[in-house]
Amino acid sequence: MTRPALTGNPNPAALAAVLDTTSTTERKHMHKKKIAGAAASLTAAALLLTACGTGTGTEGGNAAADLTEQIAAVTDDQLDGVTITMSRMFGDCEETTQGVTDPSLAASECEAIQILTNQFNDENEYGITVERLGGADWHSYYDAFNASVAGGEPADIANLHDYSMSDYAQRDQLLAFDAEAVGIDLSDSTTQAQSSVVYDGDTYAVPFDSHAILAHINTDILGAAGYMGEDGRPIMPTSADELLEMAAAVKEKTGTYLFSLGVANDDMAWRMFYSLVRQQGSDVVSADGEAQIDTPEAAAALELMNELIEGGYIHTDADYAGSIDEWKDGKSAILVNGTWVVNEYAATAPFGYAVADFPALMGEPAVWASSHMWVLPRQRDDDPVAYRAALEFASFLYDNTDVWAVATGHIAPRVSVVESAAYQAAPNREFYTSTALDAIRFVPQIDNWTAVKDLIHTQLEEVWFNGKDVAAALGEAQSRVEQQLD
Amino acid sequence: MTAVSQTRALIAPGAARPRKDGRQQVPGLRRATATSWYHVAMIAATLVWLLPMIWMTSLALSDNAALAQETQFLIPRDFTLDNLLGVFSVGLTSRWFLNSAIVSILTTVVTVLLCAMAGYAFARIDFRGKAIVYGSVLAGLMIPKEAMFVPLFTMVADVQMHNTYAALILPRIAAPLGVFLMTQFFSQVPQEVEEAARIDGAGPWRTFFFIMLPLARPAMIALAIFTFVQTWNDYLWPLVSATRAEMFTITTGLASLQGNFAQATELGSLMARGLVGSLPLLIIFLLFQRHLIRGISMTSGGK
Amino acid sequence: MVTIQADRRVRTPRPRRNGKAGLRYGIAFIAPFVALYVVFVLVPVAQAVVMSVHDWDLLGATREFIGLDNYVRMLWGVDITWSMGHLFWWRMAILVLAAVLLVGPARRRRITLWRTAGLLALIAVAFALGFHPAETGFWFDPRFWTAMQNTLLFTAVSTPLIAGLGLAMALALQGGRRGVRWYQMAFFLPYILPVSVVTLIWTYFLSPNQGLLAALLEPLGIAPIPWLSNTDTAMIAIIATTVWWTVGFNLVLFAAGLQDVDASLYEAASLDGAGPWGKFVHVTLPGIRHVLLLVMVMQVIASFQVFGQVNIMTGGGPGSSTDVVIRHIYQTGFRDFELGYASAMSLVLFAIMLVVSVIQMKFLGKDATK
Repeated sequence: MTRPALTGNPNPAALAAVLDTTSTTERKHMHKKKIAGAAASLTAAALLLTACGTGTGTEGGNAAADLTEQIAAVTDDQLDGVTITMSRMFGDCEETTQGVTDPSLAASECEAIQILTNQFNDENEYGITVERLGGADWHSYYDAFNASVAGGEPADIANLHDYSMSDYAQRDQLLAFDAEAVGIDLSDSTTQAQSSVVYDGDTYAVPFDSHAILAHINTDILGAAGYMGEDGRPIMPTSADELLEMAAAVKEKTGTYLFSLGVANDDMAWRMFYSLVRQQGSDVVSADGEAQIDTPEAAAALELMNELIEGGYIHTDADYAGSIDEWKDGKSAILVNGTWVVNEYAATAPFGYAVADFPALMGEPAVWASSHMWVLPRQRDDDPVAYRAALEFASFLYDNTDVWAVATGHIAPRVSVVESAAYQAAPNREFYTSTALDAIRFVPQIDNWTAVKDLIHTQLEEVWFNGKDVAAALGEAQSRVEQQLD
Repeated sequence: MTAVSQTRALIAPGAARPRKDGRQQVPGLRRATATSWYHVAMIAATLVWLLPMIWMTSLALSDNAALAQETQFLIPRDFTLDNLLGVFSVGLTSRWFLNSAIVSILTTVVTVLLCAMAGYAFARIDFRGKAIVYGSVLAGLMIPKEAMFVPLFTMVADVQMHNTYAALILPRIAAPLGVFLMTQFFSQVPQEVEEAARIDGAGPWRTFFFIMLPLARPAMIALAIFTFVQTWNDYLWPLVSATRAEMFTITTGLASLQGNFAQATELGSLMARGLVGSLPLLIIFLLFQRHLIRGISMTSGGK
Repeated sequence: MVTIQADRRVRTPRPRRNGKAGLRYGIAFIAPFVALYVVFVLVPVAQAVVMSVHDWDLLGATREFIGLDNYVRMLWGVDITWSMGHLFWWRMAILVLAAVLLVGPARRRRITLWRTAGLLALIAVAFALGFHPAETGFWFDPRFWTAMQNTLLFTAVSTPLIAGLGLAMALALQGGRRGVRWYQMAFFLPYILPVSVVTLIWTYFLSPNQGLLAALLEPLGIAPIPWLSNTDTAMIAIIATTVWWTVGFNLVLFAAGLQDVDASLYEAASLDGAGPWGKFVHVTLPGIRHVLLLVMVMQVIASFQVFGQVNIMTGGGPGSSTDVVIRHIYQTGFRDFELGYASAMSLVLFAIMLVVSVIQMKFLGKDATK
């Protein structure tokens, strides 16, 4: 088939024509060539791949011990003038923190961490400089971090959550270190924090904070419903029945919702569910790493939440920002949100504001919590000087968890900090000390927690948005998680 | 001329003919009324269409604290330019604009040139294996970008070329869509042009650079605008490749300013950043819009 | 100076050069592009092929050859059976479609190889839909099927919508009146926004308690609809956002295409007594056929690859009602670190898009060459 003639109106043929320019015999010939070509390029690619590694080297056990010794052997002179890179969440606020080294001026997470970094750069006795690397927005943080690890060039010190740490540790992408050797006293941390930084017997991280859910209360509304005590503190329910009574009273006397919480495209409702499960002494994954979702405890938690929805005491339309909007507008009594907003609401709530532990409704006090921690990604060259510098910075941050906790509302991991006068004096901290010290519950440390959580969360959403039957949802979650954990 | 009269024929068929009862219609008046209704309808339609963007502008001009309470308004609340100015006051913003500009402009120029060359060859030069190569290039249109970029990423990491302009530019140049458009365009050019050039003694290079390229300007502008928009708005690749703050493009740079929960606390700033980041594209589009339509016309197989 | 003549004689265009010289020049012209293409597109694809037959961890934990296990995992399950009745009506519909598409060409005795291939593909799909897990069975990757379903739904709804709306708008804007250019510009404007901004605006716009839409509909007595948290409306919201974002581009394509339809054909049609609809079907549509095909093919490809809107606006939810294939691939690679499996899925998606595009081009392409 020859190429079409350029007639007066070439339009119709053009598209097909350029695709269709060879005869059948030519095509067969091309076909053979194509296969040969494809085979050649595949071989080339395979060779290419074996030549190039991805990720950083993995070292055996002996090498790790050596490394610890080498790090301990690093002298102060060697540290002088070293620059290390840091990757973290929390956003960017260069403009307000340029040159600022006094942490008491920090008004947000971003400012706090940036000022602390500035302070370290300014004041550390070794002459180490810390530079920030990467700067994705929060949602893309892990994408960027994973890419940097896969590409063999992660930052020297990075920020992770408790639930993701084990994924990197088990892949030998994090440095196991001796905390004591650099003056990091982990025994001062809560038991939960201590276990969260350990994987397979080794310490891989330095805890920085934990953040749990709290009850943020509009005391005007709660007072109108009759649940404010003589001491000016809210009367929180201690059982599911009491909760429902309180909800009914709030609705009747003030016409508002009991709780505002982000349910749509947000994790807050999931966190509430998880807290309720933990309050009953259960968990979604057993200590042996078995799926444990289809349990009476989980069913009870879901059923309580369903009762709240059916009673009109909570609704499922709001996302994170929407739930806050609603509560600030006085449409609900209590906002279920985290520790990170305590300072903000203390300063700006347009009504009486109080903070309380998330109520223990189904047994012992327990709330979902997550934590920020600092890890040292393995580097291609495994340079002990760089590792040591990063550890010194980590140590500095651990020493300043009080500053961080006061500036952000997060919970410090160190017991001495939580009990200190300075911390207790900060707005509302005294009212969630028991959360800070006892009630926080991190999620199970398993392989790929996020995938497991997503599977469960999807089923929960089916219940909340699609009216799926509780037993069916839990059953399906159970089987899917079992498949995942296999 | 014909397009106009044909449309009139479609929309107001009676306007051209006098009425049967002998009374003369005033065609101009009827046409004018129809036209004004048309414009009213169109203006209404565009306003509805642009409502989300108008609202976005309004939110960008409102105070963040006010927005934390209430967002359902069209007229800015507590009018403030702080959000917009705030974008520019961040030290590195101009650097990010520069990076985006350099990357986008270089990518665009090189892409257009290389695709024009390849398009010319596929359309006008016959050689063995052409169909296979062209087919493979077209198949590239269907490769899911997000899924394939990890191998690309590790490839660039292995030669330690991340955090360079080259890493941001080179992978983008191989754009199948560009070759596709240019091939289509060049296959429309009449044979006589090349014949005349050959008679004049021009070789293929001269023919291409001095005759074909100027002819292809509309198509090249069309391709240029598409490439520029895609490159400017690219987020994922610059995110993982340019990890040092000085190398951010405007998209990743502005995203980096976002703290966690930014939507709840600084909605106005978020909207302002969105606007500011897109502003250059808007300007470019306004400037080149005329060429864009003409360009597409040629590539879609028009006269 | 060479001028371009409007008069074009019927000529069979000869190739510019033959044989060796043609090869030399051909390679010279395409070399720079092809070099970059091979390095930055084909090699990653080849690597993806290699990875897809391995258990390949993103961060290097494993690199084990496992043959076709990834593909089995994607497409198969435990205790999968085949039955006539499963998804019966859908399969009937596909077979009817195949029959309908056969009738026209059969009558005109123009059943080409491609047509046959396309029909066989349709019949194969109808057959394949009969597979499903038995009572005690399950798919290895149920999320893959949910995501595929959602992606196909999204593509099937949004493609005709975006193409049709683009065409309608282009028709409304044709005529070269003053100001048409401004209207075109207004409709095109959303296209220049990046996905992060589009999704930000629309998430807020649609929000039942914070959004402008709810506020505007309230005086009309319509209660606020939780678009993004209702499984029935979430996909509609995603489609609406995508339409708003991309229709302007197609509008511009169609506008240009309409300009090139030979005006004399309209006059001829008028003389034959055709009304506006007749003119549209018999003059406009055939005249913009190439643009229509271009738009449809591009739109289908883009719809299969939808990702940003879903990832940011709904996170695949509520439940999994808006989860799409690219998102599944992306999370498999980046969240689960399973690069091998993610690569396998990408290749299958690529293959599906290739088949669909080729079928589209051959079926909807010319059978009446002028």
